[in-house]
Amino acid sequence: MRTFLFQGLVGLSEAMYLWMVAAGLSLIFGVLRVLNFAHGSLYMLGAYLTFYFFGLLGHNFWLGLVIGPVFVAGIGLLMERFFLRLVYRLEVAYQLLLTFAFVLIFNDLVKLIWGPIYQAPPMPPGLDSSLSILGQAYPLYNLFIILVGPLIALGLWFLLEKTRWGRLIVASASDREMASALGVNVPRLYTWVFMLGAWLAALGGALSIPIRPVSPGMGEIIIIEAFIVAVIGGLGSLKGAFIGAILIGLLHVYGVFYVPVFEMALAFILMAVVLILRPWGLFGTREA
Amino acid sequence: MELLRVEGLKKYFGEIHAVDGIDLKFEEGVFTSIIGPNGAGKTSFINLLTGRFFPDSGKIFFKGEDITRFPIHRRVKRGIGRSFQITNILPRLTVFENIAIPTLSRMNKSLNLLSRFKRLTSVRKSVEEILQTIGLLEKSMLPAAALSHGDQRLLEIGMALASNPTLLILDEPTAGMNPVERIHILKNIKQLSMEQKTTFLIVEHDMDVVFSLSDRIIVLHRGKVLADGRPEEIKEDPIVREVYLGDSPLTTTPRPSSLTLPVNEKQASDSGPPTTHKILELQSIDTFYGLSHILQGISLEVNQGEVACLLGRNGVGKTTTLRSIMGLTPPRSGVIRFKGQDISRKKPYEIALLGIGYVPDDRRIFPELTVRQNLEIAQWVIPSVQGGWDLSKVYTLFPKLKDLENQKGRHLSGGEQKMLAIGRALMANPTLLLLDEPSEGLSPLLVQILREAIQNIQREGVTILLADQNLNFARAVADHAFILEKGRIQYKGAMEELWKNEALVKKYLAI
Repeated sequence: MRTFLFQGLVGLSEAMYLWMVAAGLSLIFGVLRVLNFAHGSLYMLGAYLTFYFFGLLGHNFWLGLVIGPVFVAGIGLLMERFFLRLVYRLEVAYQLLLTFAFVLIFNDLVKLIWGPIYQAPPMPPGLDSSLSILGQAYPLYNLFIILVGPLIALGLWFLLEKTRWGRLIVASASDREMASALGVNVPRLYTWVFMLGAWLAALGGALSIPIRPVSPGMGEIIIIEAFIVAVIGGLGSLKGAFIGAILIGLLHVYGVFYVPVFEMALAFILMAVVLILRPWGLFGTREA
Repeated sequence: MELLRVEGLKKYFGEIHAVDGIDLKFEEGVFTSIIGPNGAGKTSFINLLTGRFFPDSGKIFFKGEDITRFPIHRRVKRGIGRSFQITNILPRLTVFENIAIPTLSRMNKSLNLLSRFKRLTSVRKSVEEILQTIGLLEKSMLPAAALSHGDQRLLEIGMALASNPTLLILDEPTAGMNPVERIHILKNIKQLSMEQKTTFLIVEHDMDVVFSLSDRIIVLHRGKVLADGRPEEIKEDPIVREVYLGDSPLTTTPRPSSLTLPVNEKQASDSGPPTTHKILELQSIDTFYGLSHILQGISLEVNQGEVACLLGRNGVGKTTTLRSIMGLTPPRSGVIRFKGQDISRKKPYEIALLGIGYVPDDRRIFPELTVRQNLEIAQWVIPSVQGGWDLSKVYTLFPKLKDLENQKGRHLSGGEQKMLAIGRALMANPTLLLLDEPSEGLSPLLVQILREAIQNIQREGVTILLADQNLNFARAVADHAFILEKGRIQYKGAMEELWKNEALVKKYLAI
């Protein structure tokens, strides 16, 4: 039982990275109606750039954590403004092709600049110790991550439900044309939303560097899982992304622990079951 | 024989008691209309019958069977068909195909490839009969998306007819339809359905339609049955007159001439001679939807402070004209001048900032925002004007909205959404207001209120360009009229002259 609970804690911290990527993915899909396949690459860029600024700024982890994701949000601005904006009206296939092109470009850029090898992870001072929980050593940093995830969820909820800017986003997401007829500059709003999504993914990447290897392929691994999370939770639903991330995170650790041979398949099986029973996801809205 | 029975039906949405204890029996072959003020629970009631959602308590029996918890598709199988207040067609398929799908499914041949040759003729005949009935035979090869709002609704009725239901439920079937066509088409539909032994249950605001077709009328008010009886009885019922029909029938009152209106002195001194100042000017506008050439050289002017009306049958380009002005479907050629400035290449939000407000025919309320947020949205992005429109002014205009202030937009009835859409546009303090089908879907009493509201809005100095199917309503509010036919302006002039010119009305507005 103690092992079971401890594994649960491990799973929760895993889930929070997934949540940050899936949140941006779902937000962008919910508002812009674009499936951003390059979202995993933004996660990767977040990790690399934070690592880079960490080195550049005298090994200050917190400073890197602030600057890295903001830099990636800037990259998001350019992506949306000059590329994605051109394919909103086109079919989903074009959007996937375009964003997949970004995956390839970003991967090669990262290899070109930082090389194909793993980078040595820094650990922020103050969070580098462990606690004894349920009789086992649990890294303090993981606890910090478990705290950050819900804080971000709370922040997003507040932003969308309680601020005017958030209400404009919700209105534009449900009826872009009518919002613009009421004077809302929808294209500019879309740019902001995409930047917010990019920032969230990059923040996930940045927070991952102390405990996960920074490598060129890290984006692809997480984007697949984030897609599964978003689909299970319901594309466009932030609540769904949060719950979905926790489900997949827990499934992951328990799978590794109890049925290691079968672990890889579990997430896909869960997704298949959800798609059969509730094709619009656990918290998604049914298309009329 | 009893076809349908409901017992103690209740459905609440938060604080809204949409359906609040209804007991009714419906006999086979009786044409029943449900009427009532906006927000009376009419749509909620029929949504319970069709299975769109389930009641909180109470039971529904169809042909003696308890169907209270049946999902939609099982009710359809039992013989309950419906059309929707919001259209539900397959936009990429042709008109013919849209009707053919339910026809095939009814004939149970949709998967039987062997019967292909035999079925072709019988299906084609059946589809064409329906198209003839709803008056869309000539448009059978057009994609459904190319039809006007009114025609799409007709198509939807056709789809419901094609499944040959025992009970056909129609929610505001004539909304968006040409008033002169309305009764004619519904009579056709009634006749066809009598042959098929279909029982009708409709929700409708057009009293001509209701009183000429119904065998029985049920009046709902605040989720309860207020009156139930034959048309003659309902017409004379004093309570019904008070809450629904109102007293002065619209048809007898022309609009008071704008010269006799009390003119706001400040407005008058600001805007100079009101009759010569053009606020909006369209010069040979051509607008396309995909490949269809909808507007073919439209030119018109609207003077500051007046109410102008676009008239014409379904699908002649009224909505497209308004959408072109707003920049939602920009014209391919031509010039649109607003206060002297060319706006034909501007984006909708820039046009909104310049002072044009837009109320679409299908309301387009933001479903996830509260009534208050829907109203406030324009003021978050457009700087407010001293002494201009604010929440309290809109609530004075439509007191019902005040009571619904904290409800989400999606919980509002069709008529309430209409009021909200008008209020929402006013909150941006437009100098020109584009109103698409403002009187559609409103109860007679509300149409009167709206008529007064439009006069009040005009008195505030707002210029109005509206498109409406309802000639009586247009006459009551408009100074000038434009008649559209096939994407061209066929008449422009004073409203009263048009009213007196029977030949003109017959040629362009009647069937």
